[in-house]
Amino acid sequence: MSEISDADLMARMGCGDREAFGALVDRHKDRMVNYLTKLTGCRERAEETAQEAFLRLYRAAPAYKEQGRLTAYIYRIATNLVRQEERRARRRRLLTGMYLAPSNGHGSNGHLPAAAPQGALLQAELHGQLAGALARLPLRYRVPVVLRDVQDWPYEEIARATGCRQGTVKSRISRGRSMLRRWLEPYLDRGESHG
Amino acid sequence: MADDRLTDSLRKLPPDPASAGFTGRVLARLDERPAQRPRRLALAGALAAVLVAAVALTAGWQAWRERTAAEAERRLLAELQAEHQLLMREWNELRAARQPEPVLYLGGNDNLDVVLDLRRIPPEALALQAEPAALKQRSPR
Repeated sequence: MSEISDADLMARMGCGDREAFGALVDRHKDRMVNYLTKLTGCRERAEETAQEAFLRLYRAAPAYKEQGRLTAYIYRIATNLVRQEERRARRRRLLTGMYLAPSNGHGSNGHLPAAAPQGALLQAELHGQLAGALARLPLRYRVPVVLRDVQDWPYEEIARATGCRQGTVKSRISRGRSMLRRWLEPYLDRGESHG
Repeated sequence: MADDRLTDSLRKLPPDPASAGFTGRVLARLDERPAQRPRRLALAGALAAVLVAAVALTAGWQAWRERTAAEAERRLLAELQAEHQLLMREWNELRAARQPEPVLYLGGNDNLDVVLDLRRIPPEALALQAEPAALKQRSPR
């Protein structure tokens, strides 16, 4: 099954082939859940959103036209879902008049070892702070930063997934990084002195 | 330098892969889908029905209020018209009662009054054209 291309799997999914759908999910699930976890800062939300994104992909399969951009297409669906959810959350906050702190799912992923040496502790703290800072970034900066710096995507692919020009992607990444640097300055400096 | 450190830290973030059984759960949700969608549709339908009912109730109440107001106005107008007719009738009766008799006083003395009662002159006589005397004198010329 692994030799079959995404395009072929999509074509088969268009005819209602669940096995092909399962194969496609298997192929993309880890990177997708990782992307969404970094994007939302919450593992549970990430899994839920990834499931919904794959289901939407399955429903869209009959109308899908192959252009060699399936990965960008899936990530676009997932990113739009996160955007919708954040909008709903913002509206809820406005309606209730309460400010709810961003989800604290980040930093609670269990990366902190029970008896870790000081370097590992610092590293774990940095990871927690980094995940928290990422979740605080505005979505328009967060998406390209995660795709570039966490998922290691080329600019061209990020531009496809976000529907922006490459120049816009680069400037947003730069802006996002500078915000992260400002927020994480003490941790980065400390890490440097220990690293 | 800090930029390198940041991107390096971002790249070194521990990966969060999908949990075990992820694909199975997605496929299971695929089966739930047909059942869930009608429920959502039903919910949307119920919401729409409530909305339509609320709009209809508001419109009905508004129409009832307007109808009641129009009815009250019509009743008031009818009362005013009846009052007006009554007043007009009374006014005409009063005017008729005060009207002087159609009598011309032609002359007289202490013992006698010569009057002409116009009601006794036949209407055809009144319709005759009388020629003024002044015109009669001039006409031969």
